[in-house]
Amino acid sequence: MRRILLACLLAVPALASAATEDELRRTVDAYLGSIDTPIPDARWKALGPEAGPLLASIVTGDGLPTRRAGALHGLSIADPARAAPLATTYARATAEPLVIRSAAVRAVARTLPPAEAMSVLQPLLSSPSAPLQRRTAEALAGLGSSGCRAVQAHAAPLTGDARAPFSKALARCASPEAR
Amino acid sequence: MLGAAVPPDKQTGEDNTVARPRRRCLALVLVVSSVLAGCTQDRSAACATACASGLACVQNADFPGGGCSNTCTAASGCPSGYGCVTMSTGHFCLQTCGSSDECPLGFSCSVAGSAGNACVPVAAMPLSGGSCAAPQLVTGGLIGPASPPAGCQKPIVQSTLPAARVQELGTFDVRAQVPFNVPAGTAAFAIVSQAVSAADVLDYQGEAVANAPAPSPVLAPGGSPFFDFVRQNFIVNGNPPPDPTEVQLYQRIFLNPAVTGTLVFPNTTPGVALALDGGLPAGTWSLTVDDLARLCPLVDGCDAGTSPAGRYRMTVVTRPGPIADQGRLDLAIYLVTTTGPSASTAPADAAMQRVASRLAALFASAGLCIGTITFYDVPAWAKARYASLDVGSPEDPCGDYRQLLTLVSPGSGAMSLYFLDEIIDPAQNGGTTVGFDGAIPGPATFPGTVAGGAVVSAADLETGASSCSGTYAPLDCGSDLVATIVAHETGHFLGLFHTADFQGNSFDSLVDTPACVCSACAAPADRANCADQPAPGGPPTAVDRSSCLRGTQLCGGADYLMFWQVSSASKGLLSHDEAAVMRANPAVASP
Repeated sequence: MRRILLACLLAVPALASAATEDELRRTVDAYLGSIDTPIPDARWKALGPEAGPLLASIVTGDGLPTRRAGALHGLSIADPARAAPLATTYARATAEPLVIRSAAVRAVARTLPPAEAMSVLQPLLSSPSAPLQRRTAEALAGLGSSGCRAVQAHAAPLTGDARAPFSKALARCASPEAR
Repeated sequence: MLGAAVPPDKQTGEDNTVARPRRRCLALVLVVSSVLAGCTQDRSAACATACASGLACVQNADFPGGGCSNTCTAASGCPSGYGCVTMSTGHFCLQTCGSSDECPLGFSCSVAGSAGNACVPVAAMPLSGGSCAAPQLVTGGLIGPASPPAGCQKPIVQSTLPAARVQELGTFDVRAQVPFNVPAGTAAFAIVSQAVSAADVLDYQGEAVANAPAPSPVLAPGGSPFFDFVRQNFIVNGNPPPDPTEVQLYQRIFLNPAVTGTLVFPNTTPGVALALDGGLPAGTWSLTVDDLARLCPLVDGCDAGTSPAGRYRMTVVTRPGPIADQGRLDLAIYLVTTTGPSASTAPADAAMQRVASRLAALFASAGLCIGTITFYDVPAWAKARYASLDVGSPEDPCGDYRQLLTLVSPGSGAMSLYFLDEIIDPAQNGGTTVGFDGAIPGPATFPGTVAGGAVVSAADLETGASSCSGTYAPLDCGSDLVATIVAHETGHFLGLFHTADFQGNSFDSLVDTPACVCSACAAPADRANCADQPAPGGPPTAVDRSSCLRGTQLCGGADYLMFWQVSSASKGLLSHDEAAVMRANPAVASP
């Protein structure tokens, strides 16, 4: 009888943990299933680092790209430390779809110190994908003066269509707040 | 004197409305959502009245909202006017019918085996119901200018409908009262306001708000009020807005961007009933041209700047009745993507064909047949600029999102959908979304305005192919997810709102769609944190699949197309009233 009681007591934390994990999975599924309702940062943040392993497994899994990109975004808010290396990897992963690389570029800027983020992002300004160039330039512009200098230097010799992806980042860098 | 109540999204702090374009516009559109949160409309209408002799109120998986029925055997055991139908939980008596008008709320007239046509609970209807011909997929070629247009485009366009259904009323300043004609037998009409000159954006307590056109009041023949935006949304002479069931009879709160705005009647349950019961009163109606900029100085904390008073080109388009059980909608898909099929390869592309067939199945159960789907390419500059789209400030008509919508095939009356590689939602701090609609409802049959379509992420289109060979699988089959997004955003464009919002405290204005009321449906431990509770702590509880799949009118909807979330429970269901709202839209033609 005592052994049974002990077994029950030992089982309680495990059951409680399992319920929490289920709840977490349900919440993450709900957020990633949103069609056009925005999920504010506060919701991802409220999940905390406990959501990190689950979100990371979705990012690296074989699910649909928009779901993986959403998980990377959420991970970069809920558990930045776990997100940083994944974001670096996926920003450079040329075989990945744009939606994932673009999310990774923003996650790099959010989770890495500016100098490290610069080293990851700057080479992507030369990506053959104009949309990725654009998102990279905007992420760099968000890093402040050093990021702006990188964008300005890269765009300086460019004209016409080649310069177009950088126009918004350059405009942001030219604003008084960026100086 | 006009005063302002607290905007609903200010009361609860964050995301208490449906998709964000609506939230932005709601900053000046007051009260309605919060009033609806306490809505007392009977959403369990199927058993609301006593059942006929020989029938009892049945509530189970086949009758999630309840329904008057009884068990039966083969072809016997049912009262006159009822047939015995095999359902998933057994054999039940269902009312035979000629059309959905004869069915109770929550039921739709559908083929039911040997019983012929019967009133089938919407939630129990097969996804592939209906009898539409397969959609035709065709190539439309390249559209759009060879180089980016100079400056901001704010096109003023004409409807593509036949002249007999279009009344060009002219161009007027705000406050002008303008007559228009509603012919006998008209089931629905739309009022489209296009700014000739008007402020784009207002400042409301530091937040940018679109200067939405707001023609109001709309008066029926004899001057009887039909729609009154000001009375519906503002405190007038100290009097709060009346009960929403009184003022929202025919038009749910409308959520428009700047420059182009649309009112479509009907988009509520009473409006649908009016349309189906013989149509709108014929004769001379009137509308008063108006916009939020004119109302702004009357609201505390609102600054309209120094722009001159708005001037609008006004058009009314009418839809002759009756609303048939079946209608046809054509789609134009603009491929603003850097990978995937082109306009020439899309019609034969397996993934795109799956999108088309799934979309057709989703809408067929609502009697909405997808006719022709035409694929268009856009110039390289447009792909470079828009394939990864940052929606930015959707209230700004000159932003990328609004400018993209001006890229159309001239003269096309089809629903415009823009397939993109990525959609970045500014409300999510760099997060992505999979769909975004230009307006609810959209200016259907007015192609190329800044509100003229919806954007859809095509990033998942070619993935998950191993899950695309069988049944509907929107979480695993990319094509099925894309089809679901297309259908959902098209539903918004045609006038549908989310059955329940994310926080379970705001609902559509159709009584036969399930609600999912947070304080009743969330897990008991989470209810104290519902947004409609006095002092929620932390992010309010979200109502999701697990809360909204109990199969009741109070705690249902997760299996509906217009639920906010795609999940393993998604079936793409559409209620009778949702189907009628879509079929009544001027964009829908005879099959």
